[in-house]
Amino acid sequence: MIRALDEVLAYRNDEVVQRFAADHAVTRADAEEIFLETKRWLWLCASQMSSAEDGVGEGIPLLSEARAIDLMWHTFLLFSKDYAKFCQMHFGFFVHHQPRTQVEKEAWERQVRENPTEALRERREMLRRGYEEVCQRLGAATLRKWCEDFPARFDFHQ
Amino acid sequence: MDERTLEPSEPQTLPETDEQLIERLLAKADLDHKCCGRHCSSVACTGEAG
Repeated sequence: MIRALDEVLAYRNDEVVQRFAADHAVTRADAEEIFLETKRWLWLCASQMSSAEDGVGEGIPLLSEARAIDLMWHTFLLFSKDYAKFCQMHFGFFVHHQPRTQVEKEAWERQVRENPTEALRERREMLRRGYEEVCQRLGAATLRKWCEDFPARFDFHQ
Repeated sequence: MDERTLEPSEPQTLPETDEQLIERLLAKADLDHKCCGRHCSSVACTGEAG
């Protein structure tokens, strides 16, 4: 049973926040804010998984603009006991982090080389589904924060 | 007699709809995608080095 979003957002973990702030040279307040949005992202993933017949679902692409959230997810995963406990307590199951495999990456690059028009169309549709899901479940303000506010404030692509 | 005068109204900008926001982000994503290399977890990533 997925807990309500407010309950998930109320979870605190100062160790994760402090570790992220230290590793990525951001303020504690910024790290807190990114952690808040990461919990929102995890709730979205868990909700999508729980409503899928196979318990996995199609998966929501982690929007590439939302790099800050992915990095915070990595930091949370370092504290694996806390992360597992958080998932169990709030979702009832573990939300796995599934990076692209090398095989998937190479297949995609091949598609881009061979048929860039179709590849771009697929990419746009995938992004559109992701954007729509975020808008519908979390609101446009969240989408703006993830895809416009965070990239403007943080440059984690170095 | 009511002597109040109406202030000249400023042109009002309609708030962006969700659809408009999504279209704008899609257009931006085509231009701005920054690949973070092998750690890029976006399935939408084209794999270009950024």
